[in-house]
Amino acid sequence: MVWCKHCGKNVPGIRPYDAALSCDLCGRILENFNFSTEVTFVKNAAGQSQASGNILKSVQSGMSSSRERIIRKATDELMNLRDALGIGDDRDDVIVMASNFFRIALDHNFTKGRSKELVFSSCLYLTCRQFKLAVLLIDFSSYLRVSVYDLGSVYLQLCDMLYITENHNYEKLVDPSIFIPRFSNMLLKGAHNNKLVLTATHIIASMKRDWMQTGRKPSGICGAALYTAALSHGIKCSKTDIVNIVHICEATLTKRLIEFGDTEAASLTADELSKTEREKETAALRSKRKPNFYKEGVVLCMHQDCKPVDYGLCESCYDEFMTVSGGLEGGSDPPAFQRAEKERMEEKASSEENDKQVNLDGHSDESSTLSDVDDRELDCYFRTPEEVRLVKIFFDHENPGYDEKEAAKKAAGLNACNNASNIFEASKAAAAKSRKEKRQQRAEEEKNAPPPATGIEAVDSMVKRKKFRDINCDYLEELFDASVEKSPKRSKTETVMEKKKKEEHEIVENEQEEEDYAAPYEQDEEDYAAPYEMNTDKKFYESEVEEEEDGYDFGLY
Amino acid sequence: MTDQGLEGSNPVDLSKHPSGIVPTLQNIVSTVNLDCKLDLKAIALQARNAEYNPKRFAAVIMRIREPKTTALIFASGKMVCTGAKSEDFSKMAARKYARIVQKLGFPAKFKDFKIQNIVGSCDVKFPIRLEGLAYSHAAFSSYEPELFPGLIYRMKVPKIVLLIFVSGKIVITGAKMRDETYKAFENIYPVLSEFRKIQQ
Repeated sequence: MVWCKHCGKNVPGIRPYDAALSCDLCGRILENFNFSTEVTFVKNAAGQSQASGNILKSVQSGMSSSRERIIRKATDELMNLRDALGIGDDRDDVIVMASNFFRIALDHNFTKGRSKELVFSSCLYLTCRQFKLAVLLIDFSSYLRVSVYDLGSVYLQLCDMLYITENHNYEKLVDPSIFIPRFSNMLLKGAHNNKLVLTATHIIASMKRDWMQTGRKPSGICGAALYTAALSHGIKCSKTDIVNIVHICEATLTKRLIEFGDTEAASLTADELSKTEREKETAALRSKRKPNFYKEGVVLCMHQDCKPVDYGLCESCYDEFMTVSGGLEGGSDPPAFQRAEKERMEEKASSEENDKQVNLDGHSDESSTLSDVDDRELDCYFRTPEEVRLVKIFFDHENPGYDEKEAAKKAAGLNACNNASNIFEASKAAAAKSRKEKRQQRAEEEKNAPPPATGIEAVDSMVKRKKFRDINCDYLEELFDASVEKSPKRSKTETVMEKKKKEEHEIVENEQEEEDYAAPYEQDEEDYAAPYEMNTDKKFYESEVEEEEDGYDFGLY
Repeated sequence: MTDQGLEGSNPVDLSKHPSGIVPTLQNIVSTVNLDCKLDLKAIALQARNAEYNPKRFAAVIMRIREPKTTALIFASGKMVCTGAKSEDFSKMAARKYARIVQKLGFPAKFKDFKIQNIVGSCDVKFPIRLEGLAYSHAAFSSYEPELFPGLIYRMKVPKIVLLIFVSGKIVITGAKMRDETYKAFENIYPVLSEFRKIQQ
């Protein structure tokens, strides 16, 4: 229906002879053109037909559909991980950055050979490190039920891959104090205690200054600080509570507490500690120190366009360094260093007593026939014939079939050739060839053999094909005799089948046949159960699987 | 221990070791080709110092007391010798293993002896702030206290991996020559001094 000005209404339009569009009532021409919207084909220079025109790509079609599906699934998995770990339902910025990391990893085939969950977790953990969120690697491994070192390995490989591709170091150091609010929240079961958090933070700051934090897991440091702060504020908690919250062993917590007890800060009260920490923090802001070894103006960190402040670091890196660690000045020695010093003192005391030294002469003379080696020294390494006999008995008992396997390996080696690669290829080809031949023979036999008329023929062909050894032949002969005796019964059944051809009767007759089959087997022993079971479809399938396994085993040699 | 004793008595060559500290070699892994097929069962039955469990590992494990080393002897005639404290000890031990195999009746030779890995360790005797090293040498450092207490430093020239701990103990691994170990330590020592603990 088109609008006709002359008639003043919608009229059916017609195109006589595919010409202009005309009004069916008054004949007025409504459209004086006829464009086709069908796909047209033209002959190109090679004489082939092709669609005319060009394909215009849209902005969104730069990715294949499977890649889009992978990224969409990755985003869903990252959201599940974020929700499961309690990072925050509203942190979509975390998901966006983690998805970008995963996209980069996907472009560089980082997901191949690695579990997808580990890659998702690594991307999300790297994002949490960028945002300084209080999530530990052990939280991911605990949720996924994998080893923290497996996850850590994938995480380190991801950082290495990103560094190579993006030329940007995404590894940021972890400040243990960011975990204190989360752990105190868990300890108090949701309640918030600002004094507890502040005291624990000050304890961690003193631990940093006393070199207790370097080389230690942040969870251990947080556990000790939180336990000490809780006790100092009168909160009742046991070591077991702390251990369950921060995922460390109780022995580790005890060690950290003992180490903290050896420092000066341990003898202060909570108020004195806070006051001391504030004073030291104010003093640290004023003092600056120039580098010893590096030239002025040379920046060692990744920000080459900035000016160095100290230690060859730019201002932001220097501030981060002083925040994450306690700086280089003051404090006690680290506990590991103290232990090493103690060991050195003990060694020095013991070495003064024993000054004897043994100088070994080097063997400068060497011969290709090993005649320079002293044979007398090596005689103690050889067994007597009696010992060899006894050890051989033990070895054969522990490794049954070892000699046969070795002989088979040698035979296979001799049959093929001495070259290792040729041996491998020949054995592979032989396995494939033998497998094909077996399959072809089996197919031909199945085709040529007529369907068995009676159960006797079916059992007989089955026995021949499978080549069973455990079947008792006497019982099999008895089975044949019993079957022969009951042949008149079977003929009656066939007669009944010929007379009645209804489905209901067929079902009844099948049941009777099954009874005929089952009757002889019930009278005999279990050995007869095997032939009957072979007639079922399940058994056929199992036998095929077994044959395939045999072929596979043959291929291994 | 022997090397440490020697280190104490002899003066350090400052032209070669400007830091005054000489790393001690702790372990050397070497390989050698005996160039004949071996019957591992026969070796395991006749040698008192050999153990062979084909279900677990397809090589004979043999040990000798002096120098105290462990060898893996494969049916193909290849042998791996570990545990020696110096290159000469490693070669001496490998020759002893080859001689033992030779006396068991196999036409063993001694071809293609090669040092595969040298592990050294030393102590700079001052605490090191690993965080500073991680910030200033981020391209080469990997410091994850959740996974490993030390800082893993992958030096490019020479291609050596160093494990640096806060106590001042350093492990140097991946070298194929002794000089590489010394060179790597001399390269890292100024950086360690930069982040050493300052006494008040």
